[in-house]
Amino acid sequence: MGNSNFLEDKGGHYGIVIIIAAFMIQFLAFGIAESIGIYNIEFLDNFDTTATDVSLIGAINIGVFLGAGPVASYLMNKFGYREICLAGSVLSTVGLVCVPFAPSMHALYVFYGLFTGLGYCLAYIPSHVLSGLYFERHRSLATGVVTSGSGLGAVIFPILIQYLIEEYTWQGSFFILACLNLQACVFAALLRPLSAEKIKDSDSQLDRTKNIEQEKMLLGDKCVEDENAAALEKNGNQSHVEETTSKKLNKKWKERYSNIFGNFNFVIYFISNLLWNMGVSIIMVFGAEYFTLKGQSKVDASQLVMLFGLGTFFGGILSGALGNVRQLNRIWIYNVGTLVTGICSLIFPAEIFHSYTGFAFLCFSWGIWFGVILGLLVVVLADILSTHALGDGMGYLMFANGAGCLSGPPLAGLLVDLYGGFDSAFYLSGVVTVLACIIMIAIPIKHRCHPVMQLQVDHHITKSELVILNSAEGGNEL
Amino acid sequence: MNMPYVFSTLTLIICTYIVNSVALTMIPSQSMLWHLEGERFELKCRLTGPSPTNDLKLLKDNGDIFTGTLSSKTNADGTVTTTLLYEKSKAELSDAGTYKCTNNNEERDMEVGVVAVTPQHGTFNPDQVTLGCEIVGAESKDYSVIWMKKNVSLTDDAKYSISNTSLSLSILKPENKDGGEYTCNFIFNHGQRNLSVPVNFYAKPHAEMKEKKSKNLAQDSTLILRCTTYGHPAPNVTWFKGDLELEPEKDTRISINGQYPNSELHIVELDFDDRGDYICEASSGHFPNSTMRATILIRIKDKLAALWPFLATVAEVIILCIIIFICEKRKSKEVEDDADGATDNAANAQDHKGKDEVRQRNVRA
Repeated sequence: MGNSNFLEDKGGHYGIVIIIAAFMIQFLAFGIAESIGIYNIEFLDNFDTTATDVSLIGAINIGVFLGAGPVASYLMNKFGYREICLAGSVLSTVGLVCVPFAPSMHALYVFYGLFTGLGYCLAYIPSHVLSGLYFERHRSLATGVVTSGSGLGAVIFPILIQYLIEEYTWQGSFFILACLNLQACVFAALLRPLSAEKIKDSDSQLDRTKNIEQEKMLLGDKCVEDENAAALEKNGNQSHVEETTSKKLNKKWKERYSNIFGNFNFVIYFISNLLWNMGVSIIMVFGAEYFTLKGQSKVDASQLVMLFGLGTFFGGILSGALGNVRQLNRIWIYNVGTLVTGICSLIFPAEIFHSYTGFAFLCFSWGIWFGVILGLLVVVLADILSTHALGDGMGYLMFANGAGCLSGPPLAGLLVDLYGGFDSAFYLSGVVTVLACIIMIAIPIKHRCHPVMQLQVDHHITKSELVILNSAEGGNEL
Repeated sequence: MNMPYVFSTLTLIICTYIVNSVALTMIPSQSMLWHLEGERFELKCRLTGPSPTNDLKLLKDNGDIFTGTLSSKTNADGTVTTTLLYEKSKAELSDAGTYKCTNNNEERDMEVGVVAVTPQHGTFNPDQVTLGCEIVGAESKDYSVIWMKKNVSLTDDAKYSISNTSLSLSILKPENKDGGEYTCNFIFNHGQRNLSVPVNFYAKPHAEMKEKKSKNLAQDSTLILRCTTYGHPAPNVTWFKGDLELEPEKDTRISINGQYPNSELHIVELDFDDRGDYICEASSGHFPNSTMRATILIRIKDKLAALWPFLATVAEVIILCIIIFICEKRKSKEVEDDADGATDNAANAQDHKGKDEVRQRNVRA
């Protein structure tokens, strides 16, 4: 089976529209969320407060943005992707508009941190998941391109915001940002849901085949058949129960929860995400300060931070393209991405790179490999869980992302206080990211060990049933 | 000569000397005393004995005899301490010399040195500024000099150059910030005395603000301007708006805070009238013709200026969403029609049959 044409992939021509819409939503959401640091000095002047309190604004925002993932999943399954994305866009805009009227820091925590953060979460997850659902053969490229939107946002918004603050004062700049943010509603409105059969199709053998090939490369042939048997058994059960679109809640929440967290691969992936998010957030939070400490001017330091975003932009597209190649195992590309990102983080303290060009090179390379991880996020998730569980799985995965982002900087801060100098923060970041790679190795190891025993225990099927399933599967393989 | 006899005599003489030397003391009890010209000068001669004595005398090496005040005090063990006090309110250079305190039996010596140090101040010069300390009344063997600025000792390096006699300090390629009070510290080799003389490096007043040339602020917000000034002596800072001096007493919104070298201007509840040039001026009495100003242009923007584009955007987005909604409705209607079309035909066929029959029935009936 080969939908080699991008336009004729599952979603049809409309897939392009979805990609553009999701790209723009990520551009806006991540662009603004990651550039809020520029307002720190304005907030310090305007409210009588400390630098720690001001940085809490951004932290709450990111925490809610990612951590409220499960909430977004639940809502979008109940009310529909388009509806929730629209609600999220409106909510985030409301938050932004209220910021200039905030009388105190606590009001800012609520308006920008809670409202805007939650709004972005509700807007980001449906759009990103839908961009994955609309494509099957080219899913990787689609989500990769969409992810590069966040990188572009991180490059453009800092420059834009500086200009807006100059022209309109910081209060005015928030109104203008709200104008831009409101456009997300338009993009949200474009998120036409995928019809029922198309989603059910993905659970059929067509999709299984692609996954089978992936798993063969990952696990080795002999385990694959048993895996397939188990998966088919699961799917067999599910297709009886699930009937129509992602809107209908036919399954009880508990059943779906255990479906996802009972999947060993998902749990490993969850932990891996948590780890690399810790590492990445440390770099994002401490990067600019570190550069100024090592002799770069403030302007140069902010330019270097923008290089992170630029690298992410290219990395997303690169990973998308690479993931599309049938011969390459996407999970291994993800592993390489985490490994190299971790290594780049470890290299930062090395003296040789402590010049503008040295830092620029490191920042850009780090950005590229970070983009690779981001671009493959959804697609690897789809490989691990099946597409119908993508919505839920994405929510929980985002929760892992949020937990990592919130725990990374405080831990690094602790190390910096203990050992002085920021080098320890970068070492922590690198170690944790490399760990995220190493832990993924548990997947092939576990499945090499006892696939058959697992099957009998989990699914209470007898050996004869196993044989029948195997032969049934064998007949449908390409 | 009989050895034991000589030995015992010597011992007796030494013992007498030691015993008696406890009795006669000179205060302060250093071997050398250094004084700065103009300082209060005091010497005491003290004898402790069984009874008060009038025999204490203070002599100088040039033969002068000094009269002072004699006083007696009875001690707890019955002995009496007689003190001869010589004091002079202002030491002069000629007071230097060896002073002898004697009571006919023995004498004590004290070397007294009086010095006068003249600081040589310097004024700013972009190439080099030299500060010096001239000392009269002591020779270079008697002392060593350390130059300090704000309790930090200065050494020969790229910025500072100390002369061989260490009586001059040269500051190379100085900046305005280098102005201030330096000290030359004399440490005398004998006499445990340190002398610190301030030497001034006068620098013209210098004012700067770290902001850009202009700043936009929203109505009702607070203006905070920080001005950093340098110079020695510390310049006075005055804030102006245009040509008008800003006075916190007259306008309660304005307050000027800050400690040298920073001065902060706060204005709360900004209004459109507050728009204009704000100037921070540093002036110094020492340099009457040199004042320096730093200027910044403040513009006041309407707080809600950007709100109107926002409302326009809301309208635009609503319109676009309605258009998309209508298109989607139409599209889904088409899809429904297509899907219904297939079933409709079947249904219609049955319907028609029924209708025909009915018609026929009706016709018949």
